[in-house]
Amino acid sequence: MNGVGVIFWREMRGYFTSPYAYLIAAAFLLLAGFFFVSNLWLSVEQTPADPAAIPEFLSFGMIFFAPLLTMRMLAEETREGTMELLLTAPVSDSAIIIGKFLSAWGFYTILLGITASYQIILVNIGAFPDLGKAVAAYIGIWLYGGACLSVGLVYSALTDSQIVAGFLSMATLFLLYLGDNIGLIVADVELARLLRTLTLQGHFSTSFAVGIFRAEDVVFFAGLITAMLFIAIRIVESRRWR
Amino acid sequence: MRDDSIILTRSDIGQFASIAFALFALIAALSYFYAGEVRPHTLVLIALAALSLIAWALITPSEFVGFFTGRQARRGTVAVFSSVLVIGIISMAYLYVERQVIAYDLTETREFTLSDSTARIIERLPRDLRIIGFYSAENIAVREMDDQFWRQYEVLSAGRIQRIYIDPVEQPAVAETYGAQDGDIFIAFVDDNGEIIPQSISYVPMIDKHERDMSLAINRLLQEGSFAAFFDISHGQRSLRDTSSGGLSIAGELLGLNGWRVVEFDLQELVANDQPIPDEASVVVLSRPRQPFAPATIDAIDDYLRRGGSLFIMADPVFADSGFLLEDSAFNTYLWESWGIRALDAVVVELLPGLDNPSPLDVVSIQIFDSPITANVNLPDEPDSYAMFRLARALEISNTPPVNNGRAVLSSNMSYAETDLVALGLRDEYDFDEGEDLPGPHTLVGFAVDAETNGRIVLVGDSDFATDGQIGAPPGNAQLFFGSLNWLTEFEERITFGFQPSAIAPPTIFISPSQLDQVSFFVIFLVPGLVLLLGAGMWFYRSRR
Amino acid sequence: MIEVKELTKRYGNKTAVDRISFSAGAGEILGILGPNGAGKTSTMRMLTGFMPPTDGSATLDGFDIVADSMEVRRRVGYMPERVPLYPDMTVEEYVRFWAKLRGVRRPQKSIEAVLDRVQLLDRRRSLVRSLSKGLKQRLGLAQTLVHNPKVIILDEPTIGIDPQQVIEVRAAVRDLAHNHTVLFSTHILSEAEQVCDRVIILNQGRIVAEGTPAELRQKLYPGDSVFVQIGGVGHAKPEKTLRGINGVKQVQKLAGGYALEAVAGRDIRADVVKRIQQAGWTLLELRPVAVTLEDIFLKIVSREDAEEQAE
Repeated sequence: MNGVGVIFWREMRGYFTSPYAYLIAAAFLLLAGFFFVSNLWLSVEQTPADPAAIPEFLSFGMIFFAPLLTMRMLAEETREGTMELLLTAPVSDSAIIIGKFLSAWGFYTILLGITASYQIILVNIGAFPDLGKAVAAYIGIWLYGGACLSVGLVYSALTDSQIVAGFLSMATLFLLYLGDNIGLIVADVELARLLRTLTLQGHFSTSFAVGIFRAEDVVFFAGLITAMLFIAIRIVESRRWR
Repeated sequence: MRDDSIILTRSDIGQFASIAFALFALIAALSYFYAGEVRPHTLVLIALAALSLIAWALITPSEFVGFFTGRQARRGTVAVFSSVLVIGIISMAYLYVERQVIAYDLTETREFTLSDSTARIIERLPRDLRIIGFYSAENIAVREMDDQFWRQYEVLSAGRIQRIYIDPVEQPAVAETYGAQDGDIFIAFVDDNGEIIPQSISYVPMIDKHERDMSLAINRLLQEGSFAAFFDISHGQRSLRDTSSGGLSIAGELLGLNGWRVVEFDLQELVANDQPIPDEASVVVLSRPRQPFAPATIDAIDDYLRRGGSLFIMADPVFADSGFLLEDSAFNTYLWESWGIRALDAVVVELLPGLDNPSPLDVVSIQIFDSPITANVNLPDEPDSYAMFRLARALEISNTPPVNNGRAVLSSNMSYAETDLVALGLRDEYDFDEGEDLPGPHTLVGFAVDAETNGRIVLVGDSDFATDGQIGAPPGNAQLFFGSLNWLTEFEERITFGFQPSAIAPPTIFISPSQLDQVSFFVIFLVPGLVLLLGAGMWFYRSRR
Repeated sequence: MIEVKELTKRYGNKTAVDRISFSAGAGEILGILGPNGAGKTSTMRMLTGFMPPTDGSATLDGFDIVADSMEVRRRVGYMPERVPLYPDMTVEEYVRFWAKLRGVRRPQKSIEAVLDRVQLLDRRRSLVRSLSKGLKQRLGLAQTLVHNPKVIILDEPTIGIDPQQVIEVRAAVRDLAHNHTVLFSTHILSEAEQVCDRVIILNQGRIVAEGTPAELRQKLYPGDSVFVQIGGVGHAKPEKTLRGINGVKQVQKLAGGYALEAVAGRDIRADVVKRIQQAGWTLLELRPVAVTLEDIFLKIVSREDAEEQAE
């Protein structure tokens, strides 16, 4: 899997040398900062600050950020013709997909790490954040984000138009997100529960976001990532026989 | 190449339509399989799928034909099949792990971990228990949140406690039998066949912490019947069966609803037969006896108190030469000498202006001391939570008592105690006579507790407040009545368990506005701004070469 | 170096490459000629490991393209028809990426060598997007060469660049033959003639001709042609006279003159001059016409089509 590393570092370099990625990063940090501060304002003289404020915002925000980070990844390779060259390089198709996924996840991890450091501010100004809850919420949103990125990657593999890829992944992520309000469209409570189990929110808002680390949630996100990457690999592979 | 990347080509739109077709068709199929019939929204989905299909065929006809003539079919089938297989394996793994219930509570306050106290409560379960939750589909997130707790009860009790969820929208008849609203929780025991025992169904009020509310409710169910209030009827007391305004029927009923056993007994007969007051009496209630207590009776009561018994005395003013608990009676002397509290032959007159009491003789709880007895009396945001006594005796609390004692309710500093009960009783005349009458404030409710034996007494200089006519008007009267019984029997304490640290009030944060501004500046302007600057610098540096 | 046997590629019921067999030795430049849709790109894509063949087999340097795909890919340098570039990378980063991906150890030396070879060393820190079209083409070539592959496959490398750069690219390809086997596709026949040692002509997925450019010319156009321009003809019709010349096989009227095709092996020039003078006309110009692969190609393709229609 030598190719994974090479692809990973190329994409990573791509993020750090592209003004586009810096714009996304700035928007990401701006919004995260906004939600962080507004939560702090609300907590003053009320409760300890909620360390899950940023993760909870991101559970919605990643619907938009994940497609922005992934929509170019494979669609542009196809459009620029470099995909043909990648597929004739001595690396497997899975190495290409995994390398690209890991770099998107890595970039997201860096952004997340910056916001996680804000907890230090909370401790220093005496806002008593529950650090255990912070750990759970950040592990959760890290996996959650990975799952969003893997969904985005599938659409990027599916089409050579960035716009189509971005739009379709946003729509899909939005559907996957709607867990807590599933009752608005489904009347049967057991069906609602089943459907909620299939959503991203169903494995975040009532577990990681409140400080509970559940093995099944980890399996869900890891499983979703695995399944999506598998499908993306199959799609890229299909270029060979389409 | 870069410039045209945002322009949609014809083939893009065709592709878009093909994917839309697949999605709509899939959702339509799923909704059909779940509903088991074609519903209107299924038809809408099918129509959308058909429209997408037509759009695809019209926009990119060659691709459309190519797709269906099967040139991709074989490879495609393998790819789809293997993907489905992978998803299947992942689903199996998920279901397996979910069954294991592996969860770690990472909160510092252990907010989601059941305490040892709950474990002890669960150990005492006489039979299996069901937690019955009513949640509609709209409440699914609340249900999932609550489920975090309920499933821990299931695990901790090794399955003896199980959770049942009922949708009140789908099964309104069931909800009706429970009297349940959406979001309500009940608990109930089940018999050996696993059928819910209807008598044991009890509502679980959800106030604050899930664990505290649930464990208290279970405990209350466990304690059912183990608290008994014994009412003496052998000295002309008020009766629990009397439903007139002077009876105690409402008080008795309320006690029953709270899980008490209520018993009327003949104290004189017990004493005559030389029998002790039974240990099962959590508290003996003397509600306005009309006759003085004989020395043998006082001995029986003393014996009972020494065994850790509790006594609740409600004594009205006596306007005659003979009656219960006259100032110099034997019983009053016993109370004074052994417990440091006694009743005076004086009636409290409240002269504080601005009260809405009908007469100065209607005394209200002006001052209360912080004790479980008055925990729900004179609540700051509930104006009706005061207690009122119509004709109340002044009490005296010894400052050098043989046991711990204290004042629970007092009249105002402007009140006094009228000692001329003849004039008051016959002519309804009262006036403050310097030197004769006793200046306020006066104790209206007093208590004493023997730390060694845990014998307890609450003495109230009035009995009317607990009668059917007045127990609910004002509501503070009932709170005083139950508060007294709670304290006497430690009812609440015995069903209350050791709190998790979370029950300790969370710290309040104080951050100065300037500090907040600094944080805002750093987080909203500085960090994103630096990133932008870095990006611009990088772009400039690279494009210049 | 390259052995292709009965290689076939079908897309559903459409056959793109139909049982072709050929081989190329070490150091040889093999041209693949054909119109668009002849199967050139499909053939190349199969040889690079991009897609598996439907039938048949091929080996590169002894490795099977299906069973040992990774080994084959390591030994192949490939430049697709559209030069694949990452516009946001610098020249050096771009080449390094491909070097690393193809497992070059200590890539720095190879990178500098290859950039020097395509004369991009002074532009190594420039962004790819800022390069001109010709430089981009050279960068594409650099990517192909960086891992020192045994086989280089170039799909129409001279398309869309200006004539000066075409000459440079052709020179570069010729230069490659010292150390590599080159498979080179084009639809410009004169280019194949200039560059290739050997040529395969593909049409509708089949090999219709194979050989060196000279062999092909010999085989299909054994005779030479001459072009004449005649003055002082008046109202007379010279075609008939010209056809009557000994050794002339065919006469074609062109703008300003006539093309005369000779019977195989005959030099007709002396006879033509003599006959024109006999007719009292003035010979303004006489020159030999070299048969190009273009002509050969047209001839083969039209013959093929005619045969197909006859069937």
